[in-house]
Amino acid sequence: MMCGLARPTSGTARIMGIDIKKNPEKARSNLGYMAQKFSLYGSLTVRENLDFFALAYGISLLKKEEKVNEVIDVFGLREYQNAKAEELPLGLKQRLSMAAALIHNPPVLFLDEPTSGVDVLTRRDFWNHIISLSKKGVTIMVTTHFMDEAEYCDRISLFYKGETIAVGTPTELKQKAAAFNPSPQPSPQRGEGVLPTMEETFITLIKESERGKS
Amino acid sequence: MIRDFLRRVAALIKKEFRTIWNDPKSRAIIIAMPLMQLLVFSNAVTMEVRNIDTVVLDRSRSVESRELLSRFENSSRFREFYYAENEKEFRQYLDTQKAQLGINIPNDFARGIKSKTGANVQIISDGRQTNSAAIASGYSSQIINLYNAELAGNKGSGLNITVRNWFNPNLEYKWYILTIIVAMLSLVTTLILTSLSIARERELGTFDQLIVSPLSSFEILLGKSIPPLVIAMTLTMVMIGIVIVFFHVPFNGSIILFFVSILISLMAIVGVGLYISSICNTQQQAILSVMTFMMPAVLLSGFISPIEDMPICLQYLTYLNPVRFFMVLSRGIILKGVGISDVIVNIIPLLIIALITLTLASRTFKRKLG
Repeated sequence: MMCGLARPTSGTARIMGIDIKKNPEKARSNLGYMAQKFSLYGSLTVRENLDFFALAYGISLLKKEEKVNEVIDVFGLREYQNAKAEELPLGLKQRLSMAAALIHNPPVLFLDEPTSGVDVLTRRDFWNHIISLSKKGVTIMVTTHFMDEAEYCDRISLFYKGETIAVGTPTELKQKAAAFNPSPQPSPQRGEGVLPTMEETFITLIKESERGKS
Repeated sequence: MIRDFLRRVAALIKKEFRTIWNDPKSRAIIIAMPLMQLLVFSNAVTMEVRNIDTVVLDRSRSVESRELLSRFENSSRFREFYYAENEKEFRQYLDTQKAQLGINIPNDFARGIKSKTGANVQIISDGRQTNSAAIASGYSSQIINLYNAELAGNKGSGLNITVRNWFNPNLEYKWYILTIIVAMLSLVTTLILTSLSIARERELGTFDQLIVSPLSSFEILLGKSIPPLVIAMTLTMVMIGIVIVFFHVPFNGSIILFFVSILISLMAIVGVGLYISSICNTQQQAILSVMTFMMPAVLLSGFISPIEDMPICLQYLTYLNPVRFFMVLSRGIILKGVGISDVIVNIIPLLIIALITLTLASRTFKRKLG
């Protein structure tokens, strides 16, 4: 909805103070979006893709060259810049998508399961990027089903069957789960009073919400 | 503001051209396919009836019957003559379609002519091919009538008919068929190109990326319709050039009128194609929808049968069909050299069709998302 992919039914939402219903184009120019599936133009080269998105996001012709070169360097795409996007391996495709999403320095970034199907090293790389961006003050929204990734986030919203069942920082959520289920699974590595892992937290909270309903 | 708008649209147009050009399949659709079809169809698609094979059962075997048959043999319309010995053989030639026409001369033929009591000749044509049958028997009666007139002697009191064919004096079938083939080929190419464009992006997921960008529906519409329009325009002009230079079809109308009417016709067709594309989720759906649209659109365009001969309600239906006006315009301007008023009458409906389909297309981009 925020990205303009779904139509809001009621209520208001603002991105950087701009109403998404009243001024959708302007609101969208403030955000970057990276889809789960690779969705850049496969038949264009890396550079042509970045050129297009730079201009589509309103970067002026004079600054475009500089900006494209900058993201190519940041994401280490220099040696692939003339390769067709569809011929890149998955990890590089993801980097290219990220580069395209960030080309206009958006203050808000949406990442839809950015690391599904990506190898461990690229994933680590990726999160380093995300964390450094968030330190620069970029608001980032990530959806993921890897619970260890969720741990990196500042604020988590747990979704179950299309509904939010819990919101909070990772520690808050863990404490909440611990209250329901004082000692989840006694294990030798863990003494009393230690918080459950993110995965255990998630499972506990889902079970609680099921019980609450029935 | 306006500069931002132009810059975004220009970027989209450039990207469209690049994606079309980089893909060997779409390159084939816009270059190889239409040009090859133009060459093949211009020679293959003909409604002229030539090379008629004939079977003859001559029971008279007289000077008079020989005289009549030699006139058939000297006509360029007829090719092969088979002489049957009996009725059974005669029948077989027609049954197996070895001959399309049968001439049956009874044994009292010569006697009838000599005694001036009148003689009969039977012409049998193959009704399985209605059109050729009618034309072939037409040729035969022409030949027989001439012979008849000669036998009756020149009394000088008969009616002489003078036929003149305007706009195509020698009824060169190629003139007619070529202008239509060009229109058809640009129709097919434009429809395929536009109907695939949005459906392909939807299938690959790139359309989401466009929707998320600050591009508005109107900008996407412009970026999606201008490249196919330019490509189709260029293609049509090249094909018309080929038709004029290599096939010697005369161009009687005004080039400017032609350019404007082709542009507007193609705009209406781009509109139809983009609308089809916007309601389809995959390329396969898009191609199937194009087929579904093409069949009635071509049949009800006046290409196969004149619109004036259709039932009244179907005649009104053809007003919704952009191909109809496209056909009238391209044929009218090239062969007839119609003036501005005739062109405008046909352009207005096309403009309306373009406006409606393009608006629907840009609305559907978004509605599909919810």
